[in-house]
Amino acid sequence: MNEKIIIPYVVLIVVLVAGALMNPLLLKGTNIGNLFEQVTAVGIASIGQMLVMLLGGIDLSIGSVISLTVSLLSVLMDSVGIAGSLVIVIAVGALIGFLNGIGTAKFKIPPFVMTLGMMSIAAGAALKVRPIPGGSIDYRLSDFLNDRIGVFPVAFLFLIVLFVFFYILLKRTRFGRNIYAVGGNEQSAALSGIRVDRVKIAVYTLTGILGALAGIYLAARMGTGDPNVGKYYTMDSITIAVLGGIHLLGGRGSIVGIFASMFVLITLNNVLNLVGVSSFYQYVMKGAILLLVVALYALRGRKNVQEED
Amino acid sequence: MDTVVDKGASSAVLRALRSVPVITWGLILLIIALGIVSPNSVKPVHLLDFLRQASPLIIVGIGQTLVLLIGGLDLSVGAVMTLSCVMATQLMMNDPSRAWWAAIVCLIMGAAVGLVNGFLSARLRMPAFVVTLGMSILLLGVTLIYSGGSPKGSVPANFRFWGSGFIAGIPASAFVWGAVALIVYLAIRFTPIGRKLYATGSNARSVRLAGINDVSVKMMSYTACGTLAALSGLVMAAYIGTGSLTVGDDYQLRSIAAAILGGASFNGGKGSVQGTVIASLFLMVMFSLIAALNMDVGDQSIIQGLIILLGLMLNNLGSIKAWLKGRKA
Repeated sequence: MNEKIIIPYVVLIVVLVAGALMNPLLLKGTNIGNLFEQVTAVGIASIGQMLVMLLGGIDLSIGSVISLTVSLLSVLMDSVGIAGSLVIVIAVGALIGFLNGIGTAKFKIPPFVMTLGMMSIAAGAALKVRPIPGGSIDYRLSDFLNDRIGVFPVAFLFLIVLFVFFYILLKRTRFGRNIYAVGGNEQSAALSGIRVDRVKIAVYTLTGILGALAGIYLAARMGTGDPNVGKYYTMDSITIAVLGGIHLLGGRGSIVGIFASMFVLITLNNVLNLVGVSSFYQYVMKGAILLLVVALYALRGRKNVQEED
Repeated sequence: MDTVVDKGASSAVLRALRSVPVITWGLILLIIALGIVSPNSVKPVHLLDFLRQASPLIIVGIGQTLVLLIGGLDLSVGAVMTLSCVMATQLMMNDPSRAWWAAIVCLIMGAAVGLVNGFLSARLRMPAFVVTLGMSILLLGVTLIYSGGSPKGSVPANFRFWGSGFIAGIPASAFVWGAVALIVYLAIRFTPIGRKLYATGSNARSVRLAGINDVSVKMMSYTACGTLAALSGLVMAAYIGTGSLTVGDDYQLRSIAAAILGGASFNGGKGSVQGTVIASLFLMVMFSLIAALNMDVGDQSIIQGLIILLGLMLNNLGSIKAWLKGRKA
């Protein structure tokens, strides 16, 4: 365990304790359930954002992928059915991620521009398929994902499964080690025989799929389509990844930190709601957190060489 | 192949043609296409209107170009524009005597935001896209808090003139961007600032060895970009007349598209004022063409994204050729 993993947990405990003191409702059973619901979509997106950030990349299109997924589902579900429409949206997410990977790996387009262009394309596509909010999501999907086992929504249990899956993938498989190697130093990774381009394309594709999964849950939770619903998920997922200790230049950080930092962001939102602060302040708070955390890392990065966990 | 130098008059013409930004030919083709699709849109009065429509984009695009020149990026320009527009209407409250100091306050706000962006990314070496992304969400919050969610007030007539008035038949806002373009062009061309900007973007390390303070050059260009974004928001306010929470939304991407199409690159050291001006006009004519073809905002967004990516690929042909070669082998 290194401090980058411990810090998000310490911050989470502080936020929970301080929040509970400000409003005891925070830790009541129903509200805990709400927290689990609110954390699910952004948690899935954050895993995707973390993967590309470990490569030293970034995905600014993930919010648009979420919007497109939700919009597509609200249009397709009636005609294609649950299974068919889920397959389609996951394929679309994978395709967008794949193209991001091709652009960054093969065409050497900087990731933030490649995904910025893709953000515009996917957002436009979302507006094409669903110009205004509406449509409906099959209630069976909604009921299934929103069903509770104890205090846990089913979808949140899926999120846990994803965390375990990607923990194992990153720590125990060759592919996972390759991601860290490419993010740490592309040249030396290539010299040691890693097919850098393939790793990149695979990771961006996975992130596209995770974007689609986040969209699927969001669609089920809202029960309707909305072409702009994903707008803030890009920003939130980056904030969570950075707060969770993922280094922006790649190669360093652990998924274990993300698990805490996603709760930090959602709990902070929740506390602000509970104490009646206008949602306007949440934007300022999120922007400030992102800038502050990155500034702290930048200042620390100057003096010490980073440790691996 | 461009390195072959012929002699004689034809080469002089060729050289002159080559010095024209490539996107100029695109602009001409687009105007012809627009003329075919919708003959009414290419009447002089409508063509002149493009000079007005493109005004906010040109101004903020020049700011973005300055930041791209030094190898940076500013994703907060849209948020600065919106805040500037909302501040202008709320500070002026339709009172002509307040117009100018309110405008100056907005410009100072833009400069301050740019300075912070520059400090964080150049001095603390934080990645520019995160700094400016964080800044843009923070400013969105500030704008919402400041306006209470619905902007109040309006701009007085003497200020509106600069958004919707005419001077000798030419839109007044064209003079605003004309002045900006001229000043920045002259500064780049005839003062040491230009050389420092291009040099910093091309190779910051050797610039440092040459005794130029690259950090202050970078901070200067972010500050200029923030100021121009605020000016662009003011032109918007002068045109719409009231505050709006969404005026800047499209300009985060559009300013980047304009700079890239005008020849800027994300590696720094490339781009020009004239290129960005013409690329901005290109984009505005293209959006008109999209409208004339009965396409909607969704298409507009898709095309905008494709243009950014295509522009980048064209700026980066070498790696595509290398890739195709690698495929065959």
